[in-house]
Amino acid sequence: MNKIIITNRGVEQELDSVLFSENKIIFNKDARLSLSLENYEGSLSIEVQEEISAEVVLFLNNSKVDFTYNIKGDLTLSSFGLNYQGKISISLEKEQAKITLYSASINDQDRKVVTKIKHVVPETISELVQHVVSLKGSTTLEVEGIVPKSSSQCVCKQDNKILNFGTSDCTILPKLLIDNYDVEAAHSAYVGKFSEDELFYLQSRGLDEATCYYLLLKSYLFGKMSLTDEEKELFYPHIPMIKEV
Amino acid sequence: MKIEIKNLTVKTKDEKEILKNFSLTISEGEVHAIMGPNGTGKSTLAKVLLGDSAYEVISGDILVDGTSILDKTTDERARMGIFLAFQSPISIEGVSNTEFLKTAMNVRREEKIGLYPFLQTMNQALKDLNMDEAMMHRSLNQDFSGGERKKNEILQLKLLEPSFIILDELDSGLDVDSLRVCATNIANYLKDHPKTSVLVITHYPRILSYLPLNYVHRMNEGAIVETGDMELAKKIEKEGYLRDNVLREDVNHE
Ligand SMILES: Nc1ncnc2c1ncn2[C@@H]1O[C@H](COP(=O)(O)OP(=O)(O)O)[C@@H](O)[C@H]1O
Ligand SMILES: [Mg+2]
Repeated sequence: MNKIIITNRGVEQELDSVLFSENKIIFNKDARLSLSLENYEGSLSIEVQEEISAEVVLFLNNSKVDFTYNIKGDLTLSSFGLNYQGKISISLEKEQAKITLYSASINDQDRKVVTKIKHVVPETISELVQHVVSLKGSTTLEVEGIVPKSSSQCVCKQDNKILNFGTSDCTILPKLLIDNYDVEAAHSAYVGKFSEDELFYLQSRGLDEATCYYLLLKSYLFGKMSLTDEEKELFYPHIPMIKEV
Repeated sequence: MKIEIKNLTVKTKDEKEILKNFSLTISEGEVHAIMGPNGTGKSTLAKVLLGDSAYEVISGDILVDGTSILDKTTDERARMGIFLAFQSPISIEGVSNTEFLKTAMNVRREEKIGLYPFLQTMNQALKDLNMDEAMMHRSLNQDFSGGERKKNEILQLKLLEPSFIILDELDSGLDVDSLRVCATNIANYLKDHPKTSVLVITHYPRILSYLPLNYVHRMNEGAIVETGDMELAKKIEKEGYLRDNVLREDVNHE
């Protein structure tokens, strides 16, 4: 088991197959890491070495952190943020390198997250799913995918959604800079609310509005992540109670 | 459950009138079928019975056992025992079938159902419907085929034990064997719950042949225009919905 907790008071760690020193985490063996950052401001870099398969579950509680990911292997990253703000730079640096990012955030303040992903070499894969719930304030997601001319046969997919329950405007700014024709690229962006059809289906089974929202939000935020029971216990209580919006 | 739909006129938010002075009474334990061309308002009727807020009731009333339900929300109507098997059921990623079913069963119960009796009930229903147990650990309707989603609607029906059932084109997307299994399950449910009434929306008589059918109604442009029995259903299957219009046109040409 690998666990790192970083707060403004210091660092706690329990590591058996991950290297960690001076704001740098290195995966040189297949491993799963649970990483928590609370009330922390700073930067962190994560490296996944060649042919290594890494899984990171990230909890960003009220933190402002810039991340750098250097990936030569395969990384599945499940990230849950409460009022998270920062820059995420991902670089795929070896053929077959792959990142799958499932990111869920709940914001009740103005927040901006900038994600940049660069396919440095050919045959690299990125799949980003970023889902935000904005309760108050304005959330901005900037997403940039870069595939240079030399990087053929890449997959670069992004799915960004903001559910806006507040009154301020929220914005998704996607940018795909693709200089190669042999690339599978897709981007979808949606700012809005749950569909009436989804709510109606659940309500038609007798579930009241609060329960429907809970199930839909749980699905929206954590549906794609594979979390341990302990992580579920940590994350699920943060699902906001929403009534008649 | 007795359902009385009285002179119901319904429009969408963009002011399109869909149901026009629609009336129908379904007495306790009766099975009624509605057949009608695409776009005539059948699904709208089904959703309005459950209080879908996408529609506005302009005039008329819906009574359940003599009391108006127009002021009741969708979930309240569901807890009263009204169940709609959807024409196109949605999927929810990350919420397992089991969790969803248990939650839905518990909202109608004073006392929460225990895990063991729940699993027993669910497994029996799965067996009755020829469904794979593994499906229950997957997300609700996620990666289910069209037919599997329809079967899952009937599974929910069996566990939620409704007193009024609306089947909106259950037969579309089901192969012949699955249709027989689903329809037989509903027929058996009706034997055990003789007071439960049913509204079947369909284009085909086959599903009706499995059920203790009382009436068949032909609907056109938001209202019932003809009422009969199984013979009417067979006639519609043979001749289509347009025969009135076609005949009229023929007369005009002469
Ligand atoms: N929410 C809605 N908003 C606008 N138009 C709708 C809505 N629901 C249904 N309609 C329209 O009303 C008509 C009847 O639809 P529907 O009840 O689904 O028909 P059926 O089930 O008989 O095929 C169609 O023309 C459909 O496009
Ligand atoms: Mg329909």
